[in-house]
Amino acid sequence: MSPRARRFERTEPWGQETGVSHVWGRLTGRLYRAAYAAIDHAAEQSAQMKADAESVRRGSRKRSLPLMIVGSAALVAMFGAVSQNALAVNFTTGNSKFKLYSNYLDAEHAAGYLAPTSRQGSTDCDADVADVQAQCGVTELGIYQAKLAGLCGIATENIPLVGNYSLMITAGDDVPDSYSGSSIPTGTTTDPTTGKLVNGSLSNAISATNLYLNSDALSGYGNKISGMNLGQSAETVGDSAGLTFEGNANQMPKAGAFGLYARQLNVAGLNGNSYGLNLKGNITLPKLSLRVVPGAKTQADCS
Amino acid sequence: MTNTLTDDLGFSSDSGPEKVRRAHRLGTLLAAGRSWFRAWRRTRPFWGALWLIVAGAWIIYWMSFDIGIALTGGWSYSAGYVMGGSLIMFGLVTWLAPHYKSLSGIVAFLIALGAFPTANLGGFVLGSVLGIIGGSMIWSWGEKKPRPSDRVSGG
Repeated sequence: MSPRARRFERTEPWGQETGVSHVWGRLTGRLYRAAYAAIDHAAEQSAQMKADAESVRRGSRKRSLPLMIVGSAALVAMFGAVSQNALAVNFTTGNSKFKLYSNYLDAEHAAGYLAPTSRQGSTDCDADVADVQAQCGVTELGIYQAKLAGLCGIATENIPLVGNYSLMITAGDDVPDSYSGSSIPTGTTTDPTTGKLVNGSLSNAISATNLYLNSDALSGYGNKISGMNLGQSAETVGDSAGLTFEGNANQMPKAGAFGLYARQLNVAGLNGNSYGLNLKGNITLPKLSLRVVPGAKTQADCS
Repeated sequence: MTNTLTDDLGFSSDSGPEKVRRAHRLGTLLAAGRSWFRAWRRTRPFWGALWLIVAGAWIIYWMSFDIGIALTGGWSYSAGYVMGGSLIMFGLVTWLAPHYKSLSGIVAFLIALGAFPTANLGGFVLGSVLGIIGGSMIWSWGEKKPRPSDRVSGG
């Protein structure tokens, strides 16, 4: 028993003294007894813990090393499987604005509409100023089956005291320093009639099912787009493409709002400011490379 | 006046002179807290579990969505919360129930590996690596040989 509890020890326990007949007295007495018992229990526990801590030295032992090596090897193997197109991964980003470049987008069944988006704790829509819950107008673009020749994503984070750091993800073919905006980048082979990726470009392509992009700026060179329907009512484009858009009520497509649908959408030299890249399906990332580099990076640093 | 509260809790507060200044008392309380925390840390795989929690928080940071979307939007939105959340949970379990260290260490290790294909390449590899390190540290935690310089049982 601890000194404090002993100080309150009586011949008759709290609340049970002669003369205490009220319910209130018995109730507070019971509370007192419970409190001192709890203090006693805590004291015993920590005395036990202290004795335990001083009896033997404990820590992580050497047998953690084999497990760490096995884990790292498994991670390296998975990374290799992803970059050789053998393992599909789930890749979803939501909160940070990042820049996306791709040599060629070959999209089967693409649907898009305009929506507001809110980004928690994110930057302002235009300036890179911290603004909680910025509401930005973005296009929501959903693609049922997308093939990308080359991909380069750059997310720049400003870490306090350290400065800017960029996370660069590249996969597939190398992304050149810049796009001309009116031609297909060299090295990308496409079918002359349909504009779909063929040959080496197809086998090296990143392929994703049910890919969703929300961006505030997308530019590129449209190449042989077919089955395009501009101005389709926004709430029907998802059905046309076989997609369901997710989001809160005001991000969902609205009846009568502007929407577009394309059976085959090909964009060369894609260049976008994206907020989110979301996947319902899987993505394969051939020749995957991940780098964290100091400074704010641009397209010229991709290759 | 001795500090009865810290005595009760088993803290090693030196019983000072009769008149103790407030600053001194605060210092004693802080020292008692520190010594309690040291004992707490030494009786459980503290650092491994800390790495797990950092790994989980990092994975969630890169996959954080509105909770409504995460609940309704399916696996691609909830994977970060599920994988990162389990890593955090196993870190806390290790702290609060160190008895289960072998189990929680190995399960956290497997979750960290599983986070790679499911949650943004395991928080861009870093989360998976931290989880693997933390899980192995927890799994291998146990009694070690005393250092020759150590005074066993506190002298």
